[in-house]
Amino acid sequence: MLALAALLAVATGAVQVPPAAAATIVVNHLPFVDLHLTYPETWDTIVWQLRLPRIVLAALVGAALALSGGTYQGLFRNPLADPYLIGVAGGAGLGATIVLITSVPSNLGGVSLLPIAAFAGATLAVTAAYLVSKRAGGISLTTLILAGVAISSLAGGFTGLLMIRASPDVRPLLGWLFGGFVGAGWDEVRVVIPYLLVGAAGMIAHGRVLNVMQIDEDEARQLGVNVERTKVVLIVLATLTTAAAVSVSGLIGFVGLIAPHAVRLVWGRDYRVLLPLAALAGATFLILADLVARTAAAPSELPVGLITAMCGAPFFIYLLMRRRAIS
Amino acid sequence: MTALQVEVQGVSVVVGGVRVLGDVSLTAAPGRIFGLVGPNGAGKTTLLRAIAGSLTPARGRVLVGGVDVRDMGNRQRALMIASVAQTPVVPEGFTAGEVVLMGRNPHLGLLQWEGRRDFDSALEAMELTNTRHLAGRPIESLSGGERQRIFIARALAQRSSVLLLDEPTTHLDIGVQVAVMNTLLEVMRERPLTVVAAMHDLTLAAQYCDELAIMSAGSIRAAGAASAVLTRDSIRDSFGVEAVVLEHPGRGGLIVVPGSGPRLR
Repeated sequence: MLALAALLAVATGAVQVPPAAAATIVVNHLPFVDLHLTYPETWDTIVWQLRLPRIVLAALVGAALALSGGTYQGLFRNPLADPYLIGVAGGAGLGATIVLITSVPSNLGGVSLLPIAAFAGATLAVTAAYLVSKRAGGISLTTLILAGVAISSLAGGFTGLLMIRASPDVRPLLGWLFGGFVGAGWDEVRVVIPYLLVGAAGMIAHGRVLNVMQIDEDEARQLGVNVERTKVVLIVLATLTTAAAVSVSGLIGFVGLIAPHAVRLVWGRDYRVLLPLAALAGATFLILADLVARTAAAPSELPVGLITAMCGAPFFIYLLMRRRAIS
Repeated sequence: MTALQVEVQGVSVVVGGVRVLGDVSLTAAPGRIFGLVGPNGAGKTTLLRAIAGSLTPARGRVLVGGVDVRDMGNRQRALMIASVAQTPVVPEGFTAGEVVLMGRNPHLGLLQWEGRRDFDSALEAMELTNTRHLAGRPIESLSGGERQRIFIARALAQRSSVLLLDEPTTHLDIGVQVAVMNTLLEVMRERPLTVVAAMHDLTLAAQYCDELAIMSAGSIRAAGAASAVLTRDSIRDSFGVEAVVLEHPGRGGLIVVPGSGPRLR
């Protein structure tokens, strides 16, 4: 599925490249492979320099958001948790904007400061949402979402204020804020990969523990889970992964909501299976959403966050209604 | 492996400024069933939670096998003590078999998947509780009695030395009540296990527990053999009800029949 979506996305665009040709061009760029190609050089540039990094980035960001979303859902025992909805993405966006706009250097000793600033903002946001919704014996589910929405709006307000004050021409940043992969290259891929690898490995490793935590905190403790430490570790991992994704792609909502749920509907709730599959589903979904974003209104582009919101918001409402029907 | 002794030493618990447990001491002998009886709100659940290490006593300590439960890590404690809550949370979306397998969590490292031994333990626990046929069913589709047996199976799969049960037979029909208690006796014949159980049914408690403590208002009023603890006077003092305590005609146990008492007002 993922491979098919990627292939479709590589081939489609202003210049149509036959899928077979696109695939060979990609293979040719792998180390130790040197095929003798007869395709025009522009195709090579389009596939390898323009489309592929963008697709890889979309896949990575989709996987990152889906993993974080799945982890937040398991951790808060709330099927409606999503990095975007609980304010994490908004906090990360504000952190990243501060680095982008103010005089804070965006690069220190060769390490990009963007993900780190995004992480700081995201951590503040998730901590605030968590503290507000914390009750004796657990987390109030409704409050968590409401707090997340409030924090998102607050962070969004500050982000907007910063943008207006900083520069007369905020349109490129505004596009980033809506989320998208315009102009994405291999550099962005390199920024996000280490965070995603660490985050994904850590979150997937906690799959069984997340299963046990679905019971309730007290009982999980009696089954040998160090609940407090697990919570901190998983929140840090999910937040770090979200922040890295936001720092390269802006605010893309609902991927973290849709992907884990789609997997849950089909394969059940074992988090050891759910998290890796959700990563694949998120990657596939975001590649396709990005494909729609850049082709639907060609030659201009739609923000990909708009596409995911248009798919995700109705899905969110459906989940809300189903929840009410159950209780 | 030998069964462990559970010692509660002068434990007081304060919740929200209210003292719900005051200076409670008891010793549950290794390999026996120790029953806690008493009216609602007497502190039975709080005492079980203190033994499980789920809350910090304001004073006193709980020793299991000579070690303070508050000094154990979560995992170490889970290897020693398993508990079944009064109304365990039902983890929707998991099958009964998966729920039982969760009992193996303390035996597994972070990256470890369940192996042969874990499946064997879970299967054995399900055989004992007669729930093997439910393994593939979603837990939320089971009846109250079936769920209760699954949660007991999860605790048994944990293979701890101490088992804490909070009203294991409430909401069950008398057939299942007796079956649950008989299963416990069967398990205790096979492996070293100390049980502390809060019980509502006084007759059942007298029949199955080697020792009983009767509680009210956060303290233990009397402890010892059932015939010494369950008397007309102690039942009136704790429950506020006149009861008839009869000797069981067949096997020498007790039968407790409530008589006249107050109205809800």
